[in-house]
Amino acid sequence: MTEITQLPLDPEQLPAGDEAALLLSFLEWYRVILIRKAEGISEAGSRVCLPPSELTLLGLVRHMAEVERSWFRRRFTAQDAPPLYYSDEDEDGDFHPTDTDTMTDALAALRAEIAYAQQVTAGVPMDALATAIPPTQRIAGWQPSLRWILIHMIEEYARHCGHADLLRQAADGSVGD
Amino acid sequence: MTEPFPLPTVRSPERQTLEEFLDYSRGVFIRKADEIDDQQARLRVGASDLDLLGLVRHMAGVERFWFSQALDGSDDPDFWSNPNDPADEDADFHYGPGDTLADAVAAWHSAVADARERVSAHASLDDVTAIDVGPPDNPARYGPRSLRWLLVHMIEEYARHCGHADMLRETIDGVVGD
Repeated sequence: MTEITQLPLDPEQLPAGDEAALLLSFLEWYRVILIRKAEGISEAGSRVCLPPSELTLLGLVRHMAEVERSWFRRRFTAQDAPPLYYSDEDEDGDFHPTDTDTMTDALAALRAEIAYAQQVTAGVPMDALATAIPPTQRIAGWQPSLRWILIHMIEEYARHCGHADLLRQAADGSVGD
Repeated sequence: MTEPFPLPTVRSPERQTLEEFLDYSRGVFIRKADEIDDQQARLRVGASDLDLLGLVRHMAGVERFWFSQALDGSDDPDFWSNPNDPADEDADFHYGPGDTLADAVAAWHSAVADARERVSAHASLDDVTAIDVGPPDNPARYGPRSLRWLLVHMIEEYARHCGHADMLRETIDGVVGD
């Protein structure tokens, strides 16, 4: 029997007066929603796609592990953390699992990246700037603030949860948070 | 195509960053409904009953609910009603054969213009909604919510529906991205 992660406090119940608490709790909410979309599904279900889109639940979980790693290890804290799944040969390798890759491994990778991100964002001011953005990934204005990164992560997770909504429903009929 | 909104600036104060992200999300969303016809707007994928016509009607209603009815306590009427079931709370998704994407997009633009005006009239992100809010089964459960909370909520609400819209639009004509 697979354990399904419990939902955190509903965002509507969160204290709405503190910027950091609000952003971190919305981000936490969406991390859990994506994990819940991926839990309790068969390996076959994790590979269901809706052509012409190539997206799958397994690909999305691997992708978000890379996104967490890229923002919080490489960019925010300048850690030397090479990509887990993609490479120069396949820049979308996160979305291209092989037959032997499993959701269990992808979820473990995502949880490890989330744990690191939680650790390096706790108690940090929202105006703190990312320390290392490689030149090829610089966005207009260079060096985003933690505020920007957190809001971006919320909308990045939410958008992929929208993809996951349709994939999970197609795989086994489950809907909702 | 509707012009995309610029990417949010990366080192701005709280309020500016939230407003820019919300506008960016609005731009991504409404562009998904650009240059498709009423039949394409009704296309669905997989086992889901979402479509772009329903989503645009939904977000017009969401804008009006949160910024007009909730934040400012206005008595603006809902945009959509179900002629077969006046109590239907999902009338946005339950359109009729004569309902058009053009009307939905026009309603959305008017709701967004009104929302921007209302937000700009609030000096503080700590201002709270005029009404208590909560889940559909208990609509006043959580009390009033701050404008700060509301802006973050709208960003994630748009983003999630943009995810749905991504899959729909790619199926319609292969268009992807922002």
